[in-house]
Amino acid sequence: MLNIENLHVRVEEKEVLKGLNLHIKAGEVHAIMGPNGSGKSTLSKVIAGHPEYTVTSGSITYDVNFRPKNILDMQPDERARNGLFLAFQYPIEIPGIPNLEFLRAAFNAVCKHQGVDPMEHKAFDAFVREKAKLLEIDSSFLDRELNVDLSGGEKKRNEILQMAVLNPRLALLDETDSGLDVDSLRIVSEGVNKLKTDDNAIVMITHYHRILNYIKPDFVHVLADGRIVRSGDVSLALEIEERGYDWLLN
Amino acid sequence: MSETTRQFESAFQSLVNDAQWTPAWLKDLRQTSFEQFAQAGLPSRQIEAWKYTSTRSLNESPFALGHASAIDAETLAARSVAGASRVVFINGIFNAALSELPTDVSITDIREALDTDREMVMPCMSAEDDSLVSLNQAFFSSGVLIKVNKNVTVAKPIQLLFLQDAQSETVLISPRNIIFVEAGAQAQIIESHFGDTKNFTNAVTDVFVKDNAVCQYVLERVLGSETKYVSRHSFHLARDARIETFNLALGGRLNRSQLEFRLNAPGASAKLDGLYIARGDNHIDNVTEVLHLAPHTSSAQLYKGILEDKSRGVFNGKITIVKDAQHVDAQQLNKNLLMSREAEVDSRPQLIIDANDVKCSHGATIGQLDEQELFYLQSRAISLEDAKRMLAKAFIGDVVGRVSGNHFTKHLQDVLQSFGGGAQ
Repeated sequence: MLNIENLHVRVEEKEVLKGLNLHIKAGEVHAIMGPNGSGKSTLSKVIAGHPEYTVTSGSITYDVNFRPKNILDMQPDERARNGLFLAFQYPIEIPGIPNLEFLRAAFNAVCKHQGVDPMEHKAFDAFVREKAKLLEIDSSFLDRELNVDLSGGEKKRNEILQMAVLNPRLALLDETDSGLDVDSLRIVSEGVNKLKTDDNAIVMITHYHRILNYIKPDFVHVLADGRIVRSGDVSLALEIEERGYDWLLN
Repeated sequence: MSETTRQFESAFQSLVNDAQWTPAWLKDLRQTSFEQFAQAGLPSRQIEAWKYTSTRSLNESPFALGHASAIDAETLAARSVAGASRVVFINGIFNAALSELPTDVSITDIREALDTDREMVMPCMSAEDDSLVSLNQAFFSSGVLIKVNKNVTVAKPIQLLFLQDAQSETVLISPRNIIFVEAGAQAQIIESHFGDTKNFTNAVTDVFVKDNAVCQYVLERVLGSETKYVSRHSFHLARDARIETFNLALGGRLNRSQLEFRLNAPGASAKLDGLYIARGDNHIDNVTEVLHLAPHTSSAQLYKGILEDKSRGVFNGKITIVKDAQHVDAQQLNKNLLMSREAEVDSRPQLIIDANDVKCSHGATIGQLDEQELFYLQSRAISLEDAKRMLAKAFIGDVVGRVSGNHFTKHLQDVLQSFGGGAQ
């Protein structure tokens, strides 16, 4: 579904990713771990198409209509319409845009892309409220301005609500677990698990082993200094929990 | 006569020699005013308040007088504020058939009022040093005197609806309105100017809000890319009087308003909200001048603008607090959003304070769309164009919200929607 080959990425003058390879198939859950500054968030933003990052060499292909397509030529919104989703580490606050209106605009953009009529306001309202219930989000939340005055945990839940509404094929969760208390972590993880099918894939970027107790990864990768230095199964995450990263860096 | 005033000469001769438009008792006023105008000429950029706005677009061809005309029902409906009484003018000429006059307020044609209500109207007819006011006084052929009697609460808003038919070309439209909201009375007035022509509107309005009276005043001007509009409004506030203005400017080759607020007695308060959106080669200029002439007066002002393409915006806001006008509360904020690299705005908030016990704040911001916000919306499948539109709409959301819950609310949404772009 997603193939990254020898990816090199610069931010301003600094090379952040230095020859990264990653292969993800439908039905898989991957966890990417690594020390601070190793390039984890850069990877997720490059896949989503953030304009601040420049790919200097390598490729990212993503299956669109069962065919691999070079997504580096696609705008972020086009990537999203084709089923890519990034749950932000720091969701952006946008005063003046009501949450519900934002969700509707996003959902309708995908409908339009798929040649489906947009859902009527009332039906969409019910649809979103159902999804909100899944994440134990109070429905008053939907009438508020996008992410404005939400706690860190509420913002993360709101990200997963957006994921639930858009039902992506490939979801990148960038430190969705950070800043969540135990209950929120459980709710968010259960929400993600309910969205998981054999046809989609999830990539979790995390510092901590904690979330992996809730969302079970098939593969764990360690990203350090712009490259994946070790891949394994969930036992790798346990080992990191015990030993830290140092043994992998030398 | 200067080069710049010659464009008006032949139209003036036709007007002043036409007994229908210039009865004998009006001839002197017109003549004197035109001479004053001819002597002063159009405002030049040497004048402080015109520093960023050129009147060059008024020199392109001579102006003519408007002719009575009709307008189709659909256009009329789209421009009308639902639930309001309306006084309709087409090409600057009153159209009785399309008007729905209120029953609880006295409305008189302004030329007639010069004869019948001379003592009320004449004091307003002084051009001072404003040559465009002189030009208006030389030409005015439309407009009304509205008298809202003591303690009357006018049931419906009154819309003064100035329309232009699409066939009219380079017509000079000179509305002159004088409004008295007497003590304890309440009224809502909506002055609307719509045009997509090469016409030039030069409007002058005086509003007197007497003791303890309340007036809501909307000025809207929705113009095409070749349409020219300038206006001067003076609001005169008595003791405990309140004025709430909303000033909407969309489009226009030259779209300039100048609003003056004279807070003459204690307890007077003014609210000034404004929204402007320019695109293409549009030029929008808003001048506000708040004069705190008495203690315990207050003013609050929020003007927001969106400038797209190569358009140009100007905000000139001056607050003056005279000596002895203590305990004044004056606030002013102007915020601008530039949607393109080629758009420009000049914002000049000014405070002149001669009293020492006052509360004042003023500020101006000029910004662009936030890259992180755009990316966030795009990452949720929303196209760049839609993302920009949503953020622009969010930017003006608070000022649009200021007119919530009255007759103008729905009308404003419709007008913004049909203007399109960042306004939708």
